[in-house]
Amino acid sequence: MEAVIQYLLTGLSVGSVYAMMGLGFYVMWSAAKAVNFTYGDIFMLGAVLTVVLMDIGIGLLPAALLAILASAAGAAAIERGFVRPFNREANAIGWMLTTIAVGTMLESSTTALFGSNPRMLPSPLAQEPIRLGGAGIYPQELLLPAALVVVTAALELFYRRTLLGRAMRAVAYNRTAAGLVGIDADRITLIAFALAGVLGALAGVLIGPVVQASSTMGAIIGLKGFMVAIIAGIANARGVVIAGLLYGVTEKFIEGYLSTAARDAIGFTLMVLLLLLFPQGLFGKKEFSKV
Amino acid sequence: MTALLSVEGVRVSYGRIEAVRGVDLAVAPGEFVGVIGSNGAGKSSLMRAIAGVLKPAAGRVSFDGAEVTRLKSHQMVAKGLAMVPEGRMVFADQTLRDNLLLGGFSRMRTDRAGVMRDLERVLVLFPRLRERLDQEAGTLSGGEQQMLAIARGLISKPRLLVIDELSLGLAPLILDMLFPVLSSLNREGLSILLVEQMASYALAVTDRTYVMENGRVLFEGRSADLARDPRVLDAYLGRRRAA
Amino acid sequence: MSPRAGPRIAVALMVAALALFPWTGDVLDTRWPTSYELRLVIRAMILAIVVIGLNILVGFAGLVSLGQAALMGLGGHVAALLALRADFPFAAAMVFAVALPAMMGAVLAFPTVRVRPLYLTVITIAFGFVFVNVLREWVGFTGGASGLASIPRPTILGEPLMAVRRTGFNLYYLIVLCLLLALWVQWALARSRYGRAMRASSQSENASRALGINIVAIRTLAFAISAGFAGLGGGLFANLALFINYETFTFSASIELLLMTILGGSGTLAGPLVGTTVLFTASQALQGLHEWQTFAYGLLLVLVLFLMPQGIVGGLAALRRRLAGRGMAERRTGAWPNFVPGFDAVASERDAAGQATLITRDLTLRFGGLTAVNRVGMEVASGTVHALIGPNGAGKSSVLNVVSGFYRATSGQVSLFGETLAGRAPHQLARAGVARSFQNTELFATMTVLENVLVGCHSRYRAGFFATILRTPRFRAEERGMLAEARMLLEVVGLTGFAEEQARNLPFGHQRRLEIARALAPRPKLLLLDEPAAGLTHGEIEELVALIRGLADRGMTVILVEHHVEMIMAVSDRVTVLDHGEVIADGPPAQVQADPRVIEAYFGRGAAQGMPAAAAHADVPA
Repeated sequence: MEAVIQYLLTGLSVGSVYAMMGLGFYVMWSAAKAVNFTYGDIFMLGAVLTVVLMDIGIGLLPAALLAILASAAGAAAIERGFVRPFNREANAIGWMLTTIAVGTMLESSTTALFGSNPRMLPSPLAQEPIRLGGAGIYPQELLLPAALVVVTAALELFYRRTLLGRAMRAVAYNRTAAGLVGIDADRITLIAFALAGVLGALAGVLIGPVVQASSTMGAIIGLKGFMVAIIAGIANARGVVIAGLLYGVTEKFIEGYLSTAARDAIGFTLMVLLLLLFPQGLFGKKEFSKV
Repeated sequence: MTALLSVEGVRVSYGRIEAVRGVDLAVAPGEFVGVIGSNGAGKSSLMRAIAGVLKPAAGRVSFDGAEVTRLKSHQMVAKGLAMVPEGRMVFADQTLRDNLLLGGFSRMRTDRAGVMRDLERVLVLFPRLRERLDQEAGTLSGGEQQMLAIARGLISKPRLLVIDELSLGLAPLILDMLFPVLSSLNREGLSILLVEQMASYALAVTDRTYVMENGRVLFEGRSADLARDPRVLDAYLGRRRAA
Repeated sequence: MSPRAGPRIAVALMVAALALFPWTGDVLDTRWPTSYELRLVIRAMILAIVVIGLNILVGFAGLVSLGQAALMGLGGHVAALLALRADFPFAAAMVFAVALPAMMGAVLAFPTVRVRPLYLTVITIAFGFVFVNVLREWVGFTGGASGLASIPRPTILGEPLMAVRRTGFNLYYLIVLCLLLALWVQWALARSRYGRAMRASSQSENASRALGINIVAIRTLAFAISAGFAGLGGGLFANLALFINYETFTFSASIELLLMTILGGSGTLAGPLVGTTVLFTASQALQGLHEWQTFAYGLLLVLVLFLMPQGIVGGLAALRRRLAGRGMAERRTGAWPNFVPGFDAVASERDAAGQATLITRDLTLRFGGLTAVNRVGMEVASGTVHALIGPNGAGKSSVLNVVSGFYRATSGQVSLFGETLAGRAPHQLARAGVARSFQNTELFATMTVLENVLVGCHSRYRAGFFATILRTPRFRAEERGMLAEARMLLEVVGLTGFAEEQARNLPFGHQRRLEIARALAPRPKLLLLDEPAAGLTHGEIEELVALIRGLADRGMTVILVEHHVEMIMAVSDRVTVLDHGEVIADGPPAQVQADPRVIEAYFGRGAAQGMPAAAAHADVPA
């Protein structure tokens, strides 16, 4: 029983990270029908920059805030410089290659400058585990689901209640129509990538104290976030959150009852099977293609 | 009097396909101008070029005395030209109210009170929209969607409203309701450029009409005169011209 | 000099250079190449084999894999494990080293390419990570980080394979042979219906489906082939190094392979060789950069994508085309329709005369709340031209899309050629005898005019995949026949002079002609034309009318969606008028033209009174 609670709690914690990353992919895809393929590096930048800023004597919270803002700016720059010029035609794939290339550059230059060893991201919430129903967990890990709830609610409010959010939905729904009511669709897309950057970097900062910051921490997490978004049906935010949490919990149970080695192999196989059964994703609608 | 909108020698191509082959057209302030012609004549492409949705391959578009050929659609809205696109293009997944507020997107920051005032005004114009303010636009009927699209265009406070294919897929009953609204908006001073394939309607409400075929303006004139011109009917039912 | 001579000479020179390379030292009396350099060349050749496979995927099918290194690793580990643990002889182990990755490729591709090609890329990345993870963690089986050492030296017929003088460099020559084999497959594929179908499906999914190509199958095939080549490379690699571990097959290795493909020029036949050579040489120089090496790859990829997206070979080819194009004489456009002898064969598959080719009953199509087609009943007799007209948004194209399988009817029945059509896919209907054109011409833009028509012949080939790759005499006879028919169709539409031109460079009217020639290539029983006259000049429309009449006279059934009323009157046997998704009139052209409901639908209410009498249809030339 204790083991089950343990897996459930840590699963929800890591699942929250996948869900946040998935939401980031959702935000980018909605606005641009393209994504930053190496979005995991934005996640990594959030954690790594926080550590670097703390090195020069800035406190945890301001460092984290600055790191998130810088990562968001980076995400926006990637949209402007590498996605937009390669996303002019429908079904273009150039943006995929350019963002992968930029991701490679980001990751390797971080390795060179930051070092290849993982570094501590000290947080007062990751010092002493607390006991919950027999399971041991850092408060920092509990922070993640809480943050996910806040992020999801905030995103929902943003999309439904603010003019900018409505404009973003308008761009997602029909770029031409958005332009005709006075919305600069390009600018909105840039903002969407920056917003996704905030989500990704925030996830990185929050999980950093648990997993340590390193240049390679983002690759797999980013990939899982993308797959979670695909499995959910990439155009459904709530689906993405549910799929992310489910995937996190599933992973922890596989890890617990089988092995860490089996975790990703089984996890990805499951995802491929799901995609086989639900080509449009678990919560996706059949897309209608005009002939 | 200088024209509010003037179009000179505009060409539009899609790759190698030339949809508009050099068109001149003008709308004076306060004028109600129609463009008619059979399907595929290039009317919609011309409107899209005017509204900045696509860039003309050649030619010049001026609005209010300034060249606007290269401006994008959101900039045109800010200049005072709003287009109600073919097929309405309402934001089906958002409520009517949100659709209308988005219509005021470019004014919202500077003139929120004005947007709210105009929102009230368009609801007076189209009372049926008021009953459905919190409904998603996708649930509306075609006629209601067209009302919404017009209302959304009006909230940007345009000086010229371009309407592309008002009648598309709409029953005559709805059209009998919509056209008088346009006439009254025009009487209040709004300039309107209307593309319409139902020529009889367009000729009845507009001051002046252009007839397009094959990407060119075939002829233009006072709508009242054209309504009696046998060439107009020919353009539609494909009958060989006498000469 | 024939235009084919250039590539042939290049291939001959390459083969000669590769054959002589190990012996250069003897000829020039130097100590070069040493065994180190020999191994470098062998490794480059192995990479080239993998890159050729990737080129088939990226350059032909337009799909991207970022797990190619892992598939290579899979092949390598299969070969190594079978030799180590099961004592498989070299040749048998290599068969599995190719087959297993190929099957893995099919398994990864099938679920993903159905929705978005993009998903395949994501899945391949995931596969790469999982592969490396499993190898690292499953120490008992794969040796973990220390890998699989002391793989038994490969032998063929008892002869040990080594790249040394003593054995006559037999391993070296085996790998040269494999490289030539890979080049052959790539070349044979490019000049076959499979390669054409891959390229077609990456350029226009809709047009490909309408011509009988099963997109999911052809993409899955492309990835299976590409994965098989990766496996071959991996197997050879294991047998060369006699040691293997996961570190060679990481994500960055996949990026390097992709970079080689794009740098050389994806989709070109020589690109993989050029890209591999250039990047492999550069990577030897970049080794001193340590962790910055990966950065350099990323930077290089970005630069290539921004500055020469067609790669080295593609860029040079484009340059040469531009130089050649400058001096090119005006191409001669033939008159059309030019019903050459032999054309009758195209309409030979016709439906029995007097039969109803198409019958719809209560055909209804809804999108969400919108009813696009409402209980439409129509009957199209075989060998007739049947026009479907109506104002914008009346549902004409929707009917066409149901008949060609692109949309599935919400309710009602459709029967074609006497059979009920129940949810069959476009490519299945195409094979049953339905062909169509598109409102906005959907040509395969970067394929030649002739290739466009040949894609239309896709479903008529009988030669299977292996016969095609081996280019058996039967296949070649069939290919010659199709080529002759494709040229004949170009003659019919007057485009013979443009056969080798890229389709996107044709003037618009010619593009329409080409689309029709392509639609005729499958020898359809029913031809659906969606606004074929849009954008055509008056003269071109008259020629189009003559062509359509010619087809119907030869027994083909034609359904025509068109706005051009004059044309409809001239060409149709019967007209069905739709408005708001419903049939409002149906009958011979003259009768329909005089129908007040039709005039009102087109023109608005009150039209019939205020305007000159529309009933004066007598002056319409039939």
